[in-house]
Amino acid sequence: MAAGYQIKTHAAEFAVLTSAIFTIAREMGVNMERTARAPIYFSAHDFCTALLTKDAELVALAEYIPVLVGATPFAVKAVMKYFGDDVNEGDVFLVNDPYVLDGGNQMADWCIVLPVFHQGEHILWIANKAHQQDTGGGAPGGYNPQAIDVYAEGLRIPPLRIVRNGRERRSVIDLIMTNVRIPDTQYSDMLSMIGAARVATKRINSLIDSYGIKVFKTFLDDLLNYGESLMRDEIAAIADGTYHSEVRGSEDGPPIVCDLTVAGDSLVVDFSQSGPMSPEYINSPIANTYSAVYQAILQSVGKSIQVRCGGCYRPVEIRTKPGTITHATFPATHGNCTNFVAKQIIEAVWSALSQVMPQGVPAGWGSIPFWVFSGLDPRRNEGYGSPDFLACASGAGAIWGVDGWSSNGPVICSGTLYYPELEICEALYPMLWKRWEWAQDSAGPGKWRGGMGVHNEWVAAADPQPIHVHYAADPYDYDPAPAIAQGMLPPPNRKELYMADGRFLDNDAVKTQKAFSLHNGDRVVDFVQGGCGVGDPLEREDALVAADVRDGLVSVESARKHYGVVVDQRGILDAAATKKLRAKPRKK
Amino acid sequence: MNYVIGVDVGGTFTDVVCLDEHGEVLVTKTPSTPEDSSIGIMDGLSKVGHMLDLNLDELMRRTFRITHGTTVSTNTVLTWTGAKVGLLCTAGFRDILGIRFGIRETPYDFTVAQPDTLCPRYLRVPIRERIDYRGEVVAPIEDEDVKAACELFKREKVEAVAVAFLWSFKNHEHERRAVEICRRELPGVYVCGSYQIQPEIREYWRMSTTVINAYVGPKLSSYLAHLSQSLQTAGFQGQLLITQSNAGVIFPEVAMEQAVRTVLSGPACAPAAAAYVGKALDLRDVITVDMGGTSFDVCLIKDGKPVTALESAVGGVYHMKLPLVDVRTIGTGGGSIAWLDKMNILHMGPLSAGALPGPVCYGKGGVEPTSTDADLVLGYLNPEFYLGGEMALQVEPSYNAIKEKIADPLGLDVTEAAWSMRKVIDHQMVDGISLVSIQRGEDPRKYTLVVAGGAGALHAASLAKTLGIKRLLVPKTSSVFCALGGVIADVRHDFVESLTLRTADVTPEALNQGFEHMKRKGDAYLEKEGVSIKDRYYLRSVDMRYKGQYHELEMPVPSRGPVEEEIIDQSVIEQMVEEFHQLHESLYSYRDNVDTEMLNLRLAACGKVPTPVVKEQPFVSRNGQQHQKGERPVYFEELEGFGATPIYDGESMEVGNVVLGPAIVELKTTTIVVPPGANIEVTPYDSFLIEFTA
Repeated sequence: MAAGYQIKTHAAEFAVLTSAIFTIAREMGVNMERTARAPIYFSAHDFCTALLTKDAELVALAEYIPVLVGATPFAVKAVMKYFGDDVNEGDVFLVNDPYVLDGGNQMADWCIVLPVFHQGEHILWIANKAHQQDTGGGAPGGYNPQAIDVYAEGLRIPPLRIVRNGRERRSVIDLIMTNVRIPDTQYSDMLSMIGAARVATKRINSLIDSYGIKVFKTFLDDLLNYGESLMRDEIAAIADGTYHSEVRGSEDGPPIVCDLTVAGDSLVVDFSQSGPMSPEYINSPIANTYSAVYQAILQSVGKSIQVRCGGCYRPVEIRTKPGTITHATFPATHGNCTNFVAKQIIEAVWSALSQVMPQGVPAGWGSIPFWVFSGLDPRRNEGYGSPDFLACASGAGAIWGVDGWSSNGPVICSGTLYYPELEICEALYPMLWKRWEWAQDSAGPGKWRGGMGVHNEWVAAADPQPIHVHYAADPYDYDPAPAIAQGMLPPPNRKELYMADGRFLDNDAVKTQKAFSLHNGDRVVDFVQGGCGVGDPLEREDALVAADVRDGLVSVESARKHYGVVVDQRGILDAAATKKLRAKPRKK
Repeated sequence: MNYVIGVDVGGTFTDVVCLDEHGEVLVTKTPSTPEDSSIGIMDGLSKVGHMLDLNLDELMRRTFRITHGTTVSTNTVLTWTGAKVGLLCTAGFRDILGIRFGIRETPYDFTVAQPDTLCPRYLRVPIRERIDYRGEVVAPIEDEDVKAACELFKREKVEAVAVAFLWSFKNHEHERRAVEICRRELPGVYVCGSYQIQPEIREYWRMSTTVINAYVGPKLSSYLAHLSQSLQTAGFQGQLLITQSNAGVIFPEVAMEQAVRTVLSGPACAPAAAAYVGKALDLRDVITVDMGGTSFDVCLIKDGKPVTALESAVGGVYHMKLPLVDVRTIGTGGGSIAWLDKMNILHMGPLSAGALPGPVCYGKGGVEPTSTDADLVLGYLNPEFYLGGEMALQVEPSYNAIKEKIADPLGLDVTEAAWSMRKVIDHQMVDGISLVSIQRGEDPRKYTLVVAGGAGALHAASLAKTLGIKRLLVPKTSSVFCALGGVIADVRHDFVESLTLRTADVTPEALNQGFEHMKRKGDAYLEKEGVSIKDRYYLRSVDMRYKGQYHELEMPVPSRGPVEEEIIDQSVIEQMVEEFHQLHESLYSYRDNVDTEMLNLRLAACGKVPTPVVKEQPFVSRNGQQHQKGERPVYFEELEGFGATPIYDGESMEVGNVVLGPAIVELKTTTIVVPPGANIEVTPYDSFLIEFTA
């Protein structure tokens, strides 16, 4: 679309309708958050809500988890392809499978799809996507690192009508709930997702009643064109060219290769040179790849755009090659794609962009070495299961001019994941936490330092029941990217197990064995890395380094070694010695 | 004659409201004196005395109560001028305050810096101690850790200490011990423990609330001590009371200990005043709106009681959890600036021209067209009678600014552009009202809009029309609502006790005991404050949710008679469960069939203060024609353009006068727009009532 597009909706009505439609999407999110019963959803906010056009373009959304949003059009398109005209008022559909019609990003992320009708006419779609506590398959919690194929990862749900004419299809829902481990909660959470969509349907109808269907339809066109214009305007400001980056988990892991081409006001993001699919469960279905790319672009090129609708996606063309790690095909395993690969895809886009706009791109965030734990709580004789969100508290990367935020990860959530309070965790799970606080020197040094990561440590207290834990995160030790303009990387993650019987399992042992049963006194220790730095640490203001030392965030040794600042434990600066040290020629 | 006085200190003005035994209300405003607020207060009191022909000493001797609303605490946080705070926390958990449960307010824009904590990390001192979820001691408290922390605090000249350990709401022995040691080792330093401030599950909220308390405590304490002294010197022998964010009042000594309860108390009393004014007309369900130069406050009052909320964030960043009147503020006001983005899309705000330079029409250097400029161009405002004529408005610069910056680029004429600006502003406020009504399952059409603030009555009828609200009340005292709300506010102390149980396991005895326990604590305060038993009442509620939900709904315990005699039995619990299901369904469109949980018991121990009834003035005449002072063209959507509209002198209109819209009623402090299809009447209670007839 040409720049200088003029909206056709009246100026006042456009402003009013834009704010109204985003309010509806946000209210839907608030309602889901307030009613859900699974911690992953009400606290971790691992969900999103979206309104889409009849053609499945995003209109308005509440992005609780940024990396889920871009996947909602895939779910709607799958329903459209599968059901064609057989879509009626009062229907609710459910989708999770990544391979049937490319409908899903990851199987634990269930998507409720619901058509919105106004006076008998199908106007919009609602798609609410939420990570479930469990999705069946070979391991609890939707993360099964030992899966050999997609069947072992969970119950595959192709586009499925679960409500017809406002009435639940009991037998179908029972089939699903029989195949998940915590059906009681998951059924409630399904009600929560549908309930929020129904409230929104009511609101949309009264909005259309106030402004008329004609005005409303024109407005939808305008909104998407508006988003597109804003994004084109941002892209046009970047120098034309092709920028290449490669992010790799390990020496022998498949590389994620990004060729990002800026041509005028369009972008092509080409991943077709990425490596082949991995035997690990890190392959990215196409919906996941698209969603990660959109997130990366909106957080860098489009960071000042407030109306993050599907129009903003129009100038971005994404290319992938089936059979690669960035375009997984049936029956490849994919369970960890929203964490590990999505993160690397985001990093690949940022790394490419950092070559042409280093001051406008965030540095990489720390990875999250998280576990999934599950078991039977002997205190109530009830099942439980959850990722350990406290081990997700990695640091954010810095950006030109601003330090990274501490304990703000993972990047796919970008500060929308609320870590559950320790008291809530100890009330819900049979564990006693020993430590959860920022870890000294966990951040990447820089003129603008990365955010801090954390130490996380807990002890099992569930006897006579075991606590099942399995290592669910990054299968490789790898460095986050990018560190920008001589900024530095954070130290790597570490996981350790100290068993009550004296055995000790170090990082390598944990990653090899992956699954464990813990008993009273067994202790889990995580070191979660911080974010990457931006700019030369030798240029960081010495008073800021001294304050970091005083606060215990940076050690005296690191201050000297990385920042060239001489300071004592209490943060008292030796200005003369610092000046001398900083004047020394640098080692290459 | 005896008096009660309400004093509200705002950023610009100090409002004083004085009520006599007959309900006669006297109102005055004096400039605030931010360097020492008590100067402005004493000025205001002298002014009231002057109006009553009394010298200050006489007025003070005849005043038996002064209620004071202060923004000292709120501003202390917003301007970063609080105490140097040290925090004692459980070893291993030093950064709960800094982590803020991981939230980033702008997930797509990383160029915003992480907010600093109110207590820097080097003053957050880990103490070896641990209590578990049952309240049992896992590791005893190490006194020497606390003593070492005190040494550090002495060295660093810390002014206030907060103590917040894990699970202290289950067992506060360790916190109590730490508080005791700090008090002994650090004489003169303000010390508080989270078990005294907010004994509830969720350590982040408890800790953050306690740290805010420590941060504002010393400053508020010295301010209140100074004020008490000034009043005493002036001859005041009555009781000074301080308003809290829950719209109740407390004694200064309690406010000093629980300083956080005065944070965000600024707008809290206005809804109570609206309820008070509305009561005379038997309006029990009202939505109050207050539109000023930079913000719009809205609050819902159901059955005479303002809706309360538990969670809030000072400055959008510093979280606290305490029951407070749920006044929602949006950044929409008369000063909101209109602008077009690079795609020529119209936006209003969030930038505001404020009071300086102000809207273009003020002629004080403002060049960006604002909401007020649009109102002027559309004829709603009288350029010669703004603030009763104290400030002349300039129409032409407003017109030109709208033309140049908005109308021409959009290809609209100036009227249409101004009308568009107004519509966008109105919508933002409609959204604000929906937030407290529709989104809470309340139908705004069943409510009356009570309108305050300089710009409120200019827009209120449009908002009402959009929402289907039929009645609006514009009280003449609305400009001093906060001060008035303080005068009529009851004494109130809030308590909470954790329960965390499946409802099926909750016995009536547990509830009765919990409430009785909190009632005893409340009675101790009320006793100290001299509230007689017959003037006491208690509000009881239980935070309920479906099993495993994170968020609760606060369910009032059904009342079946005088609460103090009431014993909860099994049927009360069953009724509460049913009411929970119903409320959940009305809010979220479904009810679940899983167990419910009861998380916290809450009790507010209140004491009625004697309040004069609103004085009724005699009926004069229905005919208000003689108060018409002119006519001018005013734009109305209903007329699809400008229409010759009669202008009335609101100051001279008399009780019973009815005027049909379209009309404009001008008062010194506000202008009331009455659209076609509505009429306006002067009530016997110092207010105007607008009703839509169509």
